[in-house]
Amino acid sequence: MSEDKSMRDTTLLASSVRLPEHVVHRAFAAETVVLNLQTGQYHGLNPVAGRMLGVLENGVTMQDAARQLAAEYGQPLETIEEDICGLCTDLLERGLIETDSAKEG
Amino acid sequence: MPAPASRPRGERRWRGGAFGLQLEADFFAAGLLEEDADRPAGHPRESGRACSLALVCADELEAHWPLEQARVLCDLHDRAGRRLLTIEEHPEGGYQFDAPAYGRYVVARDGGRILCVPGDQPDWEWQAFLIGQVLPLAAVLHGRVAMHASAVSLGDHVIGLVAESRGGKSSLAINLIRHGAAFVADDVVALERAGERILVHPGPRLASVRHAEADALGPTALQHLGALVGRDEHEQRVTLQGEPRTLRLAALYFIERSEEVSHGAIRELEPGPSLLLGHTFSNLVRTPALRVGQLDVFSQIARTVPTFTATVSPDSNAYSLAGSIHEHALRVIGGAA
Repeated sequence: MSEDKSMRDTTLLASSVRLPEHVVHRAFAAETVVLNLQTGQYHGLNPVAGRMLGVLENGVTMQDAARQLAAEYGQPLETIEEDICGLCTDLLERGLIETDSAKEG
Repeated sequence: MPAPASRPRGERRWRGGAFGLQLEADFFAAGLLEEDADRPAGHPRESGRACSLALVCADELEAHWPLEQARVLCDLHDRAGRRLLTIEEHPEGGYQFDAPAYGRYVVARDGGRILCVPGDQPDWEWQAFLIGQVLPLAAVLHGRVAMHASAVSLGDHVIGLVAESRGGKSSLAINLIRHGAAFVADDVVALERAGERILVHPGPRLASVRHAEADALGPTALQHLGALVGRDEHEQRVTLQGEPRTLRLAALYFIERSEEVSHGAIRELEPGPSLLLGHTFSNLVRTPALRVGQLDVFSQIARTVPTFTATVSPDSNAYSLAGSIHEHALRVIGGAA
């Protein structure tokens, strides 16, 4: 992951995400699988990333999701914000999520 | 006394069930289509999706199979370059299996009809191909998830046995029957998610017994197990008394061969998606709905079905491993009850 991806992106943090219709995800015991039905590709997320996606899927902003997850995991908010930005950037690049700003734009 | 592999074909219709399909056909098939469709069923039947099977001549099959636009999904040849099996998909015609040794079969796109042009072999041989390769695809088209596994039942619970090809799952299933389990399926297990449960639909009441296993069992135990349908150089095909009910999957055992772990060792396993998806029986159909169904079933298994590895040593004794698994599975079922 490049350095700028791991930085907190305030614009990104203010947006919420949604899963496109062609993307489904299911939780396994220690992994979440995200399936892109258009490409047929499976993507694996570790439990923390899977939990992040689960929270984000509720329509909250990334910042609100980060607050909730920071409380859950007992981690500094800034760390979680960086992680969530990194995850969402990766998922956006793979076409597995859309942000509300991307949708509008 | 060998059971008849087939009866004369004619106007009579035969009925049976497997993989959650209610089957009706114009031919008899031991272990699969044995009830006379004109008589009331001998026992209450589970509900299932309807699928008809018909013997047709090659011309009739051609009429249902437009060659244009067909896409080859699979084309297998042996080392000498001889074609073994070609599977094609057509947007309207469905799926065609063309196996020079076993015949041609066309499965309708919705899995509701199978047209069969058998090869010249004894009936039990082409029917083994029909049952082992073609019928599971029909079940998948009806929304079942087919897993490469064998299964037995203990009371109201099903125990699944997963191994690589020729990895010993049939032998293990047969030896579990000797320990008191009931036969559910050999080689292909049809799964369905129902809420929080994973259901296992019984397969055809047929199993393949390798000659080495038959020798180990001895003629008396083999006769007690079931009736011989046919044999080739590798194995015998026998019909078995089977579990008629669709039951909950209660435990899954992955059979591993290892020299390092003692024979019969059973360890808990947290199955990842690649392990489970890797044992999908038929990956030919890749529609979004079926892919989602597959993911649903396997994620539910990963989260709710106790899963274990059972180790077989090279000098394995299937009967003793079956005993270990039987004892272990009873504890798992007892703990879950």
